[in-house]
Amino acid sequence: MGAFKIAKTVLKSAFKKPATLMYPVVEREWQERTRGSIDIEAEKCILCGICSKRCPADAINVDRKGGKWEIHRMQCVQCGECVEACPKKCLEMNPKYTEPGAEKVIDIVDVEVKKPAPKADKEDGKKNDDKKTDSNAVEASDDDKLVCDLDACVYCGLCAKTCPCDALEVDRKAKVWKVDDDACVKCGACVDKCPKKCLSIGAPSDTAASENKEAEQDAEPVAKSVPVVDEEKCVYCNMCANECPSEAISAEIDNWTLEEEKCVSCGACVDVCPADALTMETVK
Amino acid sequence: MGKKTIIPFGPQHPVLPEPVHIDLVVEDETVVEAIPSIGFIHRGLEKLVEKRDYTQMVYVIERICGICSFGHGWGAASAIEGAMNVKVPERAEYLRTILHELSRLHSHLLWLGLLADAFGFESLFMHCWRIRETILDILEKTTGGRVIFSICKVGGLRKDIDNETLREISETLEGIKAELKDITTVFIEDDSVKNRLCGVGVLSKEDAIELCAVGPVARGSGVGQDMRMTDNHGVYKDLDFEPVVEEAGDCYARCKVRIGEVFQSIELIKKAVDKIPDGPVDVPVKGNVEGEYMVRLEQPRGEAYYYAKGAGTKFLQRMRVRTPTNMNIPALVKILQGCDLADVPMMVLTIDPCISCTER
Amino acid sequence: MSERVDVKQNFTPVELSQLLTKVKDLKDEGYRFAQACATVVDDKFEILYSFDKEYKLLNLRLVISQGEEVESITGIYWPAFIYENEMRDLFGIQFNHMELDYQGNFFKVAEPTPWSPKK
Repeated sequence: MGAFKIAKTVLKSAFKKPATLMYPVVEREWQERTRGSIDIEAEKCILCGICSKRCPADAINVDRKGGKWEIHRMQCVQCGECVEACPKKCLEMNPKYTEPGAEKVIDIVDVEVKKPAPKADKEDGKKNDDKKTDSNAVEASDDDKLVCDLDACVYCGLCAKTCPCDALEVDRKAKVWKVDDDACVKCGACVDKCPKKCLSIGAPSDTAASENKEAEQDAEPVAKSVPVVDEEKCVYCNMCANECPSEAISAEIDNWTLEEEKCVSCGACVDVCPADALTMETVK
Repeated sequence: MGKKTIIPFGPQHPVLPEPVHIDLVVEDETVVEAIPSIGFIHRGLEKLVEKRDYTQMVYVIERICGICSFGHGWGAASAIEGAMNVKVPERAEYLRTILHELSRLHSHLLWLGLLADAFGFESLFMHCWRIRETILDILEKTTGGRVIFSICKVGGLRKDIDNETLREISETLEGIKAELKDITTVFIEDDSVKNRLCGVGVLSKEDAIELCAVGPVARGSGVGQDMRMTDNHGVYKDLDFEPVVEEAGDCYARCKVRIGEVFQSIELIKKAVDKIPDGPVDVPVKGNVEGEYMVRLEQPRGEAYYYAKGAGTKFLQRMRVRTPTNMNIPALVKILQGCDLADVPMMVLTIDPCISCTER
Repeated sequence: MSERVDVKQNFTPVELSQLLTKVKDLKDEGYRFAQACATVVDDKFEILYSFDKEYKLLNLRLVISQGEEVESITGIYWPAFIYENEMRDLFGIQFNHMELDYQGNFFKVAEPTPWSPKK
């Protein structure tokens, strides 16, 4: 007879505790990966506006001159594109959802507008005559372009890999370095990454450059990564040595060596190795 | 000869998850004709290709429907990857298959609950949804969202799921199998349920082929077509997959097909977790879309088509989604002819109507 | 139907005058109708009809200019009425002899033919 087949389940659940939570008295425990809402660390933000461009819901607005970063909480769909796109990694996905409310909330955060180094006369390329009158102006201007000191550049390609807008083109063999000024949003991610410090936004001043160098020598050394070889896999084909822009690798038979001081951590050797024998590892 | 009356069904009805309007021409409690009418939830999402570039378009397509969300994300990403000739790594294909089967599990459990609610069996409805919560917790733990997952992107997945979590998922699913068996026995063997479902809403095999029905509606009538038998869709070719087919063609048969698919999904997930290889889960994708590509997936409700066409800019020219309910509406019109007025909600529910997918 | 198939992409062009004969031939061969959609390409409409037989995919591509009328295939495949009404409501393409004609009221859109290229 097929009657009252649900008896077993009903009797079991009569003696178990309920499956529901006494919310809001009992707080819900959020999982680690839950996509709840977006938080920003205002000190790291450089107002580049990439998060605003990548947002599929147009929920973020960045005011570059006024120094404001705002998000429409109800427009945001918590997809996480902005978190991945931010070049300074200042956005974070908080597992807690936005609180429900009677009005649509726009959260506005004040961000300090970073000032570029004061401009001086440059011998190559751009003349700054029309900007001379504003030499005392310290406001960030959209006319600053990304420039590269081609004498120092080793064409390692790290800047192009880091660029979140694909605005850089670097060819190691042809010794070509090009920037697409329309795509570049002057976020400065490449400036930080360049191992030879040859990139800058706007014309670099000599005093500023030397100040930066001194600051770097006083600062704590950043952990560097260098390639490490798996000697069982290495076939000593020399492709890594040929590709290295600073000639730091020597791949003789049974003797693969690296000069760590010359290595710029660009990773070109890892990409080109046909035997997958190289990996980048951090050293102190 | 009775008098003909026209009774409107929907768009607001307790049994419908989404708004659809059907004009029922009724003669003395027997439905003679049914005329469907949709358009209450049309959002024009396909036109957003003009304003959102192809990476953002995956997020838009994912949000067409809350129940079939993962399938839409996978289909949109696959169609764009096909047009750009991008090959996704194997681990990503395995993970996508596992998440798709989890999505199918939660969709079928939702449907079983709604079916129980449709014939008034509230406690069975609540138990089905209670078991569904376990699946949603798994999905939140791995992808970050309960309903909209946002984990598929062009080139693979945005996050990896490590092997330990996958083994926990496998064990959790094994653990709920006993409860699922108890609940599904009620649907299959209980007399009061069988009285409402057996012999009701029959769709013969010839009609299913003539009306081009898809999904469990076709498989309940003996037409064994399931897009998971194609080799371009996930890794089903490595998992010994065979479609679940029933012959009777009534509501009971469609219910049995979906229950069979629930248990089959659990087995498929366990097999995939055993076989998954290690490796990266995405490849970097640069450039614009040039060309066209058509992808077919097996959503929980049937086969779905995804067509992407690009002309060399970062905006696509066309993104077309054809969802299974779109194709099952003519079959619904045929099922409704000649039935009792009291059985209409049951029959509308057995085609598993997902109207937000139909209208996009 | 228990054999696995590796699906190949397949787009065949078709002329407006041959559309009905070609669709009738496909029906006789046992193809199942899958979907129909329209795209705006350079001021013309490109209509794609998809058919399936035992997991093999076949697409027919029909290019028409604005204002041209297309013969409806609902006489051969009745479920096509959904796609033809949708294309008529959104793009403004006229289909002749539709078996179930909603006269432009299938989708309740705020303005008529919102996706046609004149707008």
